[in-house]
Amino acid sequence: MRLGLCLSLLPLWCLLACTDDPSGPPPTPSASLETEPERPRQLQVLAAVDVQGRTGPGDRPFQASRRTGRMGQYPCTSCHEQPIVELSAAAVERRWSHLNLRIEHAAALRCGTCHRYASLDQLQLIDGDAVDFDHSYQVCAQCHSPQARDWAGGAHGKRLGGWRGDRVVETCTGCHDPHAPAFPRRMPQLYPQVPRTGTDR
Amino acid sequence: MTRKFRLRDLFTLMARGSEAASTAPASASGCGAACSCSTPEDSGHSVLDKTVDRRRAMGMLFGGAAAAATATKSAASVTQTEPEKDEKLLAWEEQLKGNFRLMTERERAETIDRLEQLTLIRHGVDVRIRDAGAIPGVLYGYAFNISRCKGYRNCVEACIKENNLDRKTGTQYIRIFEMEGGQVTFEDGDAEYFHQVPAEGHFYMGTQCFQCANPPCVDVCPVGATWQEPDGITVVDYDWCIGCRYCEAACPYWARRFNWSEPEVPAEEINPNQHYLGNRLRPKGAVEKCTFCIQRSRQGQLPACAEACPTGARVFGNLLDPNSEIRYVLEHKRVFRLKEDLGTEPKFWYYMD
Repeated sequence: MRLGLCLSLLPLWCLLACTDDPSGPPPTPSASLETEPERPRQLQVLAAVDVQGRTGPGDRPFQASRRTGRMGQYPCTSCHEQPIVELSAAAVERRWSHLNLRIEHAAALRCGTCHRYASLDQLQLIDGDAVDFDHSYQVCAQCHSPQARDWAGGAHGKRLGGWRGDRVVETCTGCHDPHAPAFPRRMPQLYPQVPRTGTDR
Repeated sequence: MTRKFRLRDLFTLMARGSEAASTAPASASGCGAACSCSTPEDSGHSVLDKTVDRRRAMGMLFGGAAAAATATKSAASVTQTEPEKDEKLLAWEEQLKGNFRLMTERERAETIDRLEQLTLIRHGVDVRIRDAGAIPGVLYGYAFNISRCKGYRNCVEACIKENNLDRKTGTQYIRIFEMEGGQVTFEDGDAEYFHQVPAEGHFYMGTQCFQCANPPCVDVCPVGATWQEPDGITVVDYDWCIGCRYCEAACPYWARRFNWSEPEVPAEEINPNQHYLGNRLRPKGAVEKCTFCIQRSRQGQLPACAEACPTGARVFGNLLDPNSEIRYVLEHKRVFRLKEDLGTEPKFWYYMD
């Protein structure tokens, strides 16, 4: 029956397709201009995932950079074969492993707030739902909801690749260290060369 | 607009001049007999009756003479090599080209070819100079998050590398002001800070060319060497610029830079991805400015400063696209522009979280 409907609509479609609609799509820019963006090298190596549960400006879906490819010790289960137990704050202070971690996040947070002890290759939300490391923004967004809203819109965070085409943005942990999210104090990259001095700037 | 010259008239003028001159010293006789265009009678009449603009007429009259002079000189001197001769000829032809906006497609291709050859001869670097025009339906805009910038100056470093800025005098397009928290008085801002950042109780504001929609720098240019492109970027034709620096004085944001000497960039650091109106190597005596990295943005890439920013304080995009990030910022955040009362309409907004 569906085939019959398709066949009956075919002449109508032909008629519509053949008529020259003046209000059709705008003419594409001339091919002589080098307008086609090259896919940036940054994105060729950096895979991205479709962001779940959030849309960008104009309700458009967007992508966030992957986390798992950039984590040195992932997957966690390669060492932690067994589920681990919650550590006390004092035990975290005296820890013998993960010494590279500087833990300067909210004082109320414990490892188990974000890490899922039962299966360490995943994170978890406060309500206990498991979250993939690639979608770690969902964990951050629980507390930092204004930032998450601006991140989806484009006022917070960093766009990768170019300003055209598919929108790919850096995931939260691409810029912020999840264990110490504030940007560190450091020297500026180079000395300034100010063209004019004085008060009339 | 352009004055046209008939070649025949020019030759007549020159012939008169040489007659007058030949009465005193016999050797001084116009452009010389060795020249291919010595007398009007030798050349075809059709060529002489052509009307050309002043620049081309000069090129036709003196181009042959220069070529001959170079050839004779090189024959006499054993030290002058083939590339040096090429360089002189190419540089001579470069002198006679027109304003970029008035060039035909062919003239543009020719000058780009010459500039690429000259860069290869002078610096040993094989560069690619584009002349890509504005993308239709695009107007570039920029937003700067003053609550995110930490004053690291990674953007400044990326800008210098991307735009082949002079390393000798340390030209920088971007200035980052360290501001006391709670006020936006630029008079009290410090653009020369050099200590650990972010400093306690301070915030940071970056300035560069704001690509004003009503640019005073363009209005004051006496020769039309700077103009606003359809995508909103104000550009400079470095070879047409006479170096009067009116634009530098007119800019209320101090966004323009002048090359007092030939800019120096180490050959291994020259960015080969260049644009005629963007980051190609500038001559001495020309004004230059930020072009939102025209060589990148017109290829769909972000400007180097936005790409280098480690804190994501810089947002760049198309103002005409309602779904762009820049439009989101303008519609959802509290924004302001610098010296808005001047009516320059900058396309560069500051915003805060």
